[in-house]
Amino acid sequence: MKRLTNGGRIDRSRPLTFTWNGEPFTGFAGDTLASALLGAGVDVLGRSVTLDRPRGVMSAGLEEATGFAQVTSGGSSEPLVRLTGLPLYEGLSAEGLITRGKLDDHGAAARFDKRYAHCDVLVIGAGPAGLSAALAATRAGVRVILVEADVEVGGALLRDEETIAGARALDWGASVRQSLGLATNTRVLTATIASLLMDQNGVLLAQRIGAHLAAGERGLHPEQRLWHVRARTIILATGALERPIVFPDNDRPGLMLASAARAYLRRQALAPERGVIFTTNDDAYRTALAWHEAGVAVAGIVDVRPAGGGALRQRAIDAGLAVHYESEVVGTVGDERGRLQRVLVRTPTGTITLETDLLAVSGGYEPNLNLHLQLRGATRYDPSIGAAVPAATLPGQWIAGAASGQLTLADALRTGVEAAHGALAGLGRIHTVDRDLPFAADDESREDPPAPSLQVASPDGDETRSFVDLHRDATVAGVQRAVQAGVRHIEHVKRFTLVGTGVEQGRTARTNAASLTAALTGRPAADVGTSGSRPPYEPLTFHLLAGRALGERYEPRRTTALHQLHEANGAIFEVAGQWLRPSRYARVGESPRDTVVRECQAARQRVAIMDASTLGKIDVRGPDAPWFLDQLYVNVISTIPVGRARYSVMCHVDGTILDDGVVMRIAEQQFFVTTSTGHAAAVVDWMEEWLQTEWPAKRVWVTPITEQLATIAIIGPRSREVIAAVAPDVDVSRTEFPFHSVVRNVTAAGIAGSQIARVSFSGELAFEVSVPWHEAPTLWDALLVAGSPHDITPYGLDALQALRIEKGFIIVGQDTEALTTPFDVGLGGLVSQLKDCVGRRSWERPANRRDDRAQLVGFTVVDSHEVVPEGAALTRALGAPPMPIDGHVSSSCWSATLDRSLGLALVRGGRGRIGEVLHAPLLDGRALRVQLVEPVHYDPKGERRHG
Amino acid sequence: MEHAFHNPDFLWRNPEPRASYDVVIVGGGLHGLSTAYHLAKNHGMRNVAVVERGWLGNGNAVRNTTVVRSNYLREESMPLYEFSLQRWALWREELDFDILFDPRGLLSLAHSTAEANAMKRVVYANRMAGIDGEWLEPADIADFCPIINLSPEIRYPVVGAALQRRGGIARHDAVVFALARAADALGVDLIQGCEVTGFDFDGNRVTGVQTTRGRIGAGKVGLVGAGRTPLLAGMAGFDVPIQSYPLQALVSDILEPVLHCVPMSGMLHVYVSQAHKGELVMGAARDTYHSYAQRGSVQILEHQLQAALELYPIMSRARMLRTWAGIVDVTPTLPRSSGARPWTTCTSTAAGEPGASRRPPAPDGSSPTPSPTVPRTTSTPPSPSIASRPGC
Amino acid sequence: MLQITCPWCGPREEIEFRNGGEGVAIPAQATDAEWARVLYYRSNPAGAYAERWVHVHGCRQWFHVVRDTLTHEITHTSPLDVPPPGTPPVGQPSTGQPSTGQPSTLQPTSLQPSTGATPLGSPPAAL
Repeated sequence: MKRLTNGGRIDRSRPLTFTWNGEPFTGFAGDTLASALLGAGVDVLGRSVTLDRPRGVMSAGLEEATGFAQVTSGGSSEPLVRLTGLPLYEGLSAEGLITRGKLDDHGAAARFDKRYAHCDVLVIGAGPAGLSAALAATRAGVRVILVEADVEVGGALLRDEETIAGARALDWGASVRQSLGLATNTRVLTATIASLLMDQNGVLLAQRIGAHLAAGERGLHPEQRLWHVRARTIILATGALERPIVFPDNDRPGLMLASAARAYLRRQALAPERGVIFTTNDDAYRTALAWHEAGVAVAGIVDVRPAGGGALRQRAIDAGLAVHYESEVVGTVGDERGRLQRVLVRTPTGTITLETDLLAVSGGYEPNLNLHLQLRGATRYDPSIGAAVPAATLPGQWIAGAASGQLTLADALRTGVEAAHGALAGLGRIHTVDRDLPFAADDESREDPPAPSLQVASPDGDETRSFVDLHRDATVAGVQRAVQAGVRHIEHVKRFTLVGTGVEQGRTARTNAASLTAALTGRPAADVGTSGSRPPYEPLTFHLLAGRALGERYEPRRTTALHQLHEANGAIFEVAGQWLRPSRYARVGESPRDTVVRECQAARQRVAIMDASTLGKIDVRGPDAPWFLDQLYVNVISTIPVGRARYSVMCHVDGTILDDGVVMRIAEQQFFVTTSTGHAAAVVDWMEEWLQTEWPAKRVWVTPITEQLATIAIIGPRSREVIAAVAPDVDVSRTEFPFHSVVRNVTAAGIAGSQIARVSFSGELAFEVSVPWHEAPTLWDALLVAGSPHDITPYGLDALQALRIEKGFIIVGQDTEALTTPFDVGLGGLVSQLKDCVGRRSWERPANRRDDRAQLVGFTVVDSHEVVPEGAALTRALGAPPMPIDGHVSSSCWSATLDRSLGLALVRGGRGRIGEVLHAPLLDGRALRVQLVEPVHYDPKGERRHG
Repeated sequence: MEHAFHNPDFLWRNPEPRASYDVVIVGGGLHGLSTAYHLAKNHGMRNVAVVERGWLGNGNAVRNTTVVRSNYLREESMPLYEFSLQRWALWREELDFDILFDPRGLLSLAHSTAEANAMKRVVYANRMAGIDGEWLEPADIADFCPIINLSPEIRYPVVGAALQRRGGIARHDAVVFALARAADALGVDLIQGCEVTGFDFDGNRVTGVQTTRGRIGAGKVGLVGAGRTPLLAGMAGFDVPIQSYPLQALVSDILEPVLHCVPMSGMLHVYVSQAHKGELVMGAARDTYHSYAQRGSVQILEHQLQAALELYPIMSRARMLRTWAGIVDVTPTLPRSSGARPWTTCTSTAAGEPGASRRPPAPDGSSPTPSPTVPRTTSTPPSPSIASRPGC
Repeated sequence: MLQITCPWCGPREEIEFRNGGEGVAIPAQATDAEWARVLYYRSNPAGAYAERWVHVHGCRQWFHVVRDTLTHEITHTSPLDVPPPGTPPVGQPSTGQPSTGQPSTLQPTSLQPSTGATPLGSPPAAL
């Protein structure tokens, strides 16, 4: 194409340089990359995917099936950018490619934003229908968002020359745009594509911002912004897509949709030397007339229909253009680079040749219903346009303009206002509608009806060059082959031929594929339908969907009040859900095992402290709290005396373990419930659910206080002395402060309102001191000072594991599985026989009473100090696979205290197999032998906890 | 030039339903087609029909993420999965159809000690059953899959991974075509556009199915309509302990190769592979609500892509070309470790043992042979923590 | 993403809620087979479905929702003490008290109005 010296909407005073395949070119402000390339004479963009044929730009908009590029300017390389949607900017650099994108490592730092918006009326598409709908809604005073994929509003008005209310349609559009811009209740988003329709009228919009700017202008703009819009009503004014015609060699550079040829003329002042039109309808005549009026030679109009009386056709005749009725293009001829040189036309009087460098093709228009179809909106086949039109709208939605199947400008203006009225009525605002809007096109002249969608048979019978889908190189021959293979359903045609699987999802291919299939299988097109539309409408960049929630913002990192002290103390942290917790406090020169042994020895022989703040803490109070906790825990809570505590387990309804923890009675009607770290939120939710759904009359209040109180565990034979030192007012003697007791509102380390409890997860004499979160460092330091005579030692999760494994204490989720009941892990003794509780009925089920269930046992490693890896399978019959699996190691450690390797395992029927020796095959091919023992390895009588 | 996906000259007849068949299989997805094929091939039963309400493979067969593996935990089910995986390797030859089965290695990433131990447990169990499994430390992962971000600075660093080298992907459309063609060639009638509306019984014995194309007599009926199992069972007068949920997936544009294995992160809820054609195929957590609508909620996709970019920064500018949801049939005991569930809200990331079932239970007495495709072709649960559980 | 109208807070995005599934009535006594149905069997209608959601990142209240499982259209939401219209009865009403004697078990029921008191924190009357 050539650039005309006048006309168009480009700014010739603002030339822009860009790079295509490494070569510099110049375009103008107002160009797209596609138009700039066409204006620079670059018409072969690349080669096709499987057949290696030259391809050029075939549209000026969303229909584009061939013009894609890797854009390499601006930070990270962006794959498969549609040339027809990319405004030219200074310094733009792109590589032509058609089907395959490239990824690089430079994108992670880019900015992609999200915004959330609500409105009363969301209008999608700012062509004549969308503009009139948005104006009507804006005047009614409701909140409006108008979305347009193009960089400016207008839609078809940007390429057509009709008049509205006496003004040029384009000027009318501009004035509407101005009115909307002035209205405070309306937001207009251009370069924004409504891509994904959600339930309840939610829409995802992708707005290109920085991605459309030169590097120097991007500043802090995000590349793109994702809008989550909730609209009370939606008006789909998404227009119509022009359909190509299938005929031999219909894929050359130099073939283009007729509407696109007109758009390039009117918007970017691009025209061929000598154009030809091939059409099934009147609209393409507008392109011929536009060329003619711009002084461009029109070599002929090839119209498949007989002559008619429509006004447009008459204008072409009057202008002296050569119209060939009842004729078809049956072939094209290209130059050495594949560019169009001439077309072969079969006319009623014989085949003729027309010299041309641009064949503008129109196979008719069909509603652009992708969003409607995403939620399976109903459609029906309309034979008058040879395509599906909406049969009904989705709740809260209206469809206006060409998207409704009514294709004229007058229809667009009328249905736009009607849709706005409908939406406003739905909002209860009908009384405010201004019924005097001048929404009528001046040119209501008659058009001749279009011919149905068209596939021209190849004169020589070779259908391997007649393309249905230019993006995927799918041809008529491919569809024929599919049908011959037995394929009937259009979705199978798609999967057999790959029609419609490319970047543009077969936007221009699907109806032709359906028509062909219908013809080949002898069925009406209405019965064949078209392949479905999966979201999104246009591809959405991963990073755009991810937004900013990456890295540190991916998920909150929860740390305790002592985190910095731990860091200073050499802690090595591990992930525990959202929390970071010290796994050990390494000293220089220590191996990990040395560290754990040292920390364990401190706990067993002297005193050690741990940050236990992540354990879940819940305040449960109210007159019915004792009764309530009796229902949720397997043991009786209501009989716990004030000031005492009890270890408890709660179950799911199916009888499996949900969580364990210690419940302390603070007052007659108040309990301090602890949970495991991972289940803190779940237990609160569990309590709320029961209270609200089952026992709403019960007076119980549940308050999570995990992050209100920091807790430090002080364990070991010397712990009593340390507590006595930091809490001199508390009588911590064995008689006055026995195991499982708690005192509140005492002063510890000078912190008033502290709580001290005697609980133990190590089997040693142990205390837990809880203080307000921010006081934790004070308490920690005081404990270190008070414990220094005993070489008090901080310990982490690794030592905690070893200590509790030695004692056979379980961790829910590690030593239990989803089906584990309390009886399976030796906690049946907790279960009260005097009351009901959640889960109880399920224990009676035969499946939960089988004696071959996985049951918790201890084990020791025979003849080795090697630690069995956690997760290792246990078998009675070592040999070649398959070996029977008798269980698995759930917890395992080196016990410095007992000088052996030991652990806990879940073994089938394990309670009856104590003493048995099993094998644990390792990944390196060796196997260890383990002997099953009682779970409590250390201090089986539980005497040490009393100090 | 792209590898052209080559289809054969003939796939299937389009027969009118006969008055009756020895066996009527309800559901023309991978399970139904495979069941029919194996009935015909292994058991000589040729008087078999597959009735499909839409088109062959229109359910989860074309909505899955094409992952094939056998690294499941339970001793009871491992042999079935392993048998199936071995069948996949033979199918290209047996079905004379390039289903593009590619055992490129399935990598299950662990992000915490607890998760690592849970995954190791699967590896140990697999080894006991003679199924390959390895444990990779981060340095080994870097060699095996260079695009994974192994930085200790990310929010949930990768601490290790379980690898099943024989796991991989296959081309789902090709599998549908291959099985359908093979079944058709053995005389199985594939009847599309034929929706079952009811069942005929003589006492307790099924005698036929009512369909939108008329009554079809049946000696036995197999229900293999994953995603609609409760509805079909209800029509036949019995209940199943199953609920149906959307499970979303997405594909990107076609891209130059960047990924040569199938990494999965159960904790971050994302798994991804790159198909032969070049698109990234990605799956996520399932949606939380019961639905037959074949669509899910977009926050699942957003979270999934956040996870993807945490782990694979190179994918920043890849684009979601299409997204959809399949409907998975889930036993009510499943949701324990995957978010929502009927009663509780536990979010344990430790070795949860949920009971997922992507497939209907064995049709009562109507499916004489387990279908080797059953375990592995439909959308694969991403994490070893979503393994099948025997009984409940 | 769904938009759900919390009876206390109004329309909010799905991410603020958690799905609680279908509530099940608890039989006072049940055989093993009946109890298995309580645990593992749910109605799976293709169409209107009565379920419960909790506004977990909002007012934390549970409430009733009727949602179409084919279209995701939500036709009803209400506080727990206002049962959805036309809800088929499911089993026997819960007493709100655990049964004694025979080992029954507890199970939240959604479809039964309970004893009628407002939930904890006394949220305002329905909007």
